[in-house]
Amino acid sequence: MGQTKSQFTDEELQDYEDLTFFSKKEILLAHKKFKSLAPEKVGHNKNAKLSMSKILQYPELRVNPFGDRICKVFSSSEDGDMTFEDFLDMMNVFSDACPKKLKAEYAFRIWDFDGDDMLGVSDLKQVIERLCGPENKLDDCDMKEIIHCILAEADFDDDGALSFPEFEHVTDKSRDFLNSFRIRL
Amino acid sequence: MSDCGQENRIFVSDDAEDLDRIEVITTSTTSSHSALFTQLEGSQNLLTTSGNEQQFRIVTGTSTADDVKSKHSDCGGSRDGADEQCGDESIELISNFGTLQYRRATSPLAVLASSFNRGATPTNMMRRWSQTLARFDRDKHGIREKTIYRMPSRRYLQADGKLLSNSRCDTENEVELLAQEIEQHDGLMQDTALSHEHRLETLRALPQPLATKRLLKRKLAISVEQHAIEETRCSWCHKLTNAFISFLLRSWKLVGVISHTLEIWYDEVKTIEGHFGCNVSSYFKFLRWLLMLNVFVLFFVVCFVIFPQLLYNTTANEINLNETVLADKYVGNSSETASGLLMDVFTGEGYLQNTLLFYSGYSNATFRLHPTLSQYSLPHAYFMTMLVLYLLIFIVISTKMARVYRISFIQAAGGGRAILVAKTFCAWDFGISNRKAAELKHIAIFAEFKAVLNERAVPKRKPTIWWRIWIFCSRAIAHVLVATIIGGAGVGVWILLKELDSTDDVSGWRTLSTAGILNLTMLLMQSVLSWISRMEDYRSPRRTLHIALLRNFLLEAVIISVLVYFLLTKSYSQCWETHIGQELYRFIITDSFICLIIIPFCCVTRALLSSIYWPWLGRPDFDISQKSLGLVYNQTLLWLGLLFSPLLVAIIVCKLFLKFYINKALLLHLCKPSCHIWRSAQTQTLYLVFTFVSVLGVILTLGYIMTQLPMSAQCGPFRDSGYMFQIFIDGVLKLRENQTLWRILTLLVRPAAVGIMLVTLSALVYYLRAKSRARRLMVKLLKEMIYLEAKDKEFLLNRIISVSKNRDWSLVDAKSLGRRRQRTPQTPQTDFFVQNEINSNHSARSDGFILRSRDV
Repeated sequence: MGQTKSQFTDEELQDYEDLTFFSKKEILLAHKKFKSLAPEKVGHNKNAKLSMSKILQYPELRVNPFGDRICKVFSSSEDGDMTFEDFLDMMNVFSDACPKKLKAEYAFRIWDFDGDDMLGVSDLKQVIERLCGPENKLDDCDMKEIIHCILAEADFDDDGALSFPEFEHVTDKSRDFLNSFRIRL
Repeated sequence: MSDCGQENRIFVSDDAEDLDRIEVITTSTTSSHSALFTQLEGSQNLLTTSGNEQQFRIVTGTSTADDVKSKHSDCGGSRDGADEQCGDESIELISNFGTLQYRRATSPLAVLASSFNRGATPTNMMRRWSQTLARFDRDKHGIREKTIYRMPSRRYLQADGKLLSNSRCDTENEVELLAQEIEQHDGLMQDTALSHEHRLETLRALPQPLATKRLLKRKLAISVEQHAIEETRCSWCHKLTNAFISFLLRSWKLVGVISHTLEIWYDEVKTIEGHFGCNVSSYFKFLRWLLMLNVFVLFFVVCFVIFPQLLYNTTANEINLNETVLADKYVGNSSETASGLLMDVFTGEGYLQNTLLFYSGYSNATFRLHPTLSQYSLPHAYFMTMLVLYLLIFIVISTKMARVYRISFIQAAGGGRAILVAKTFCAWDFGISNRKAAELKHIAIFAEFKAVLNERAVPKRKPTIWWRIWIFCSRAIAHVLVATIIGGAGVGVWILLKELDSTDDVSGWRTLSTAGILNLTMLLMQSVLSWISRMEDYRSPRRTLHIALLRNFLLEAVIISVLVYFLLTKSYSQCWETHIGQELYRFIITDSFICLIIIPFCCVTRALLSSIYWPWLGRPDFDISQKSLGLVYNQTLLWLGLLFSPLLVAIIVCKLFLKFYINKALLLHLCKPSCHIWRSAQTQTLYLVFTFVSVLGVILTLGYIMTQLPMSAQCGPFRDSGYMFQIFIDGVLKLRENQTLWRILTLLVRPAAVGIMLVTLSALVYYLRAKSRARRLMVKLLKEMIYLEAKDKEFLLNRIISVSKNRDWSLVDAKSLGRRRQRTPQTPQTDFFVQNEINSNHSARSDGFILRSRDV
């Protein structure tokens, strides 16, 4: 721990503590975890940028069907590569203390594959495909049916896609969103 | 005008607050928009914009109404199609629109952003409503809404490649905009500790990367400093409150850090979560929470009751003064053999009877802990510690339950209809880190989708009358059966207790029979009840589970209350308090024996048999619901016994500690993960509700014991006072018959006063209920309004798009414009007549559309 501590100045740590939901100790723990992904690289430079493949070694992201999307959303260079700050951002959003609204915002970005600020039919299709995994394939008819149902339940203005307010409304009313959208540090 | 024959009206509101406003209310929803539109066109002063010198109409006048209508029918068939076709025109139109309004803004995106941004304020009604909310809450909310809705839906920008490439504002611009928004809120920009904390909170809740937040923080700090320099007058009172608040904030943060450090088993729980998901880990978290609560209780009991008593015992032994203690200590020395000692450990009899484990081990002495300290009265310490602990437990549990209940029932109300959405967006447990678990999860999700599809594929037959009668009858029979079983169990327990009591020889191992039989009965009954509720064929598994849990809890409650009633009414030779403590001690010991040895043994045996001989047996399930209920039962016994056996809590702490490790080992090595998705948020709340009910029951029972039952005169700390509560009344409050406080107290407990209180409370409940109903009605109305407004917005946007295809801007109705110019003198910049608002509405957050006109 001593060595990790020396990598940050007090001011940096204070900033991190102020701007995230973590305490200083947790921030150092997060850095330890980040470092364990690429010890030699991060050991030299605490803000080293790790490639997406390295980030995807993180246990929770490795098995997550949306791992690559998560990397892209939180990466400051938008290509999936992450610095420690991006990593901290990510863990911050997935932490227990993070409010539902912020989580919903990022969940929306993660599932918005084509980046048009709407969860359209193609986005929903990808979400469902990834959720079911590579082995289990739903046929087209079923897929259409499911998407149709989803839109019927949540698309209030009938424009054929979920906008953020609609998505937020749905997650706000869901009992399990907070429980499931969470990665413990 | 309205060819469609449907009603559309335009109401001109003369609201005092908003003279510049025309409310458009449609009484139809979808089909008659074109009629509405024509009507809008007819009222020529609408939908017009004017810049400094230029004026042009966005929407054509009456002369082109037919033209527009035909356009609408061209591309209005499918609205989405129309959007795509007319995409670029709309952008141009909207950006033109914006440039006129905000000439200074340069980036087309910023223009768009600001024009849409104006819509982020709630409508008047919502504003009024939200004013009653907490001030800072509103500020935070407002800012966040603005930052999220600052960007219009990018769908309308897609057609224009240039705009899309501009869509990422550079960070500085972004920071600038955000800073401006936050600076508007006075509450956030003061140089006080509270405001600082709120500012940070706002920053934390922003959906922006860390770098942006840091820049923003620096920027705000600078502007706050400037602000503070301007406002140099600062009274000492102000400073004092500020210092106090900052002290409170810091200590609160420290408490958070400490409680986080005290969080034990972090890695273990994380491992379990990685392997089995958050539902299983929630059981372990519940266990951990109860353990921490019990450790807290143990700490206080040891500090204030046990430690002083130990100290007293040693001094008493040394000086050989107190004969009663010595006599008590050596009265049960008969069984010195090893087997006798073992038996004593299980039964709580013999040697253990007069130790600190039970009530009779405590003396009623008042003495000095240390020669320099003042007197320490053991009875007072005993009573006050227990009283405070029970109250604290009650407060902790009720607040926790209220919070969880609010989150999982009240806030989530109305979300029950969006089943498939919840199944999609909350399906993946992000905490899973194990590949095997992930594969299982994929399969489970797939199966769930399939199940939903199958259910939809089967055409829903209207249930026949016979079917309904059958369902009704079977459920009624099941309920009656369960009621009989529970009642029978109660009666059976009563008979059994009487029987065992009447037999003379109740010593040695036979004393364990009551506890053993009751615990085993409960175990068997629970599986019978679960089986019955599975037979009942409820549609949702959650309902089945809840009903089974409720019945099991009822069974436990009945058995425990029969036991308590029996124990309280039984006639004792001496020291009835100790006997009650011993009985509960035996219950807890047998329950621990079953939980820690027998059940794990069964699990291991089954796992071994299934892996070696009979594979069809399968590995055991990890039944979270039964185990959680077991924890509640355990806790109820503890709370009942704590008053007369303070060290029980130490036993429970050890038990929970062992239980965690045993269950974890069983789960990770032997049990199979559940193959269906089990959503537990509500069930967790149910356990807390059960815990709350049991703690309430226990407190009522103890209240009865304290006030109604005379204490035994031979042993224990309260042997001198007739009733337990008298030690409080006489000793602590020093009340005498004719004091005013005493009179007030006696007045308060008279039936009339209690009756008045009850009536007042009922009236209050009635009032709140009526209020909540009215709110619900209001929410419903607002939702309908949102729906209509969303429809209007969509329709009008499409109309703008289709009209913008026809770029003939010369069709300005010059006459009407001229007329208007005469009436209203030019006001710079703010003088625009159309403003579209994307309303972020509070209750359903859908977009709405309101037409405004300054010129009515």
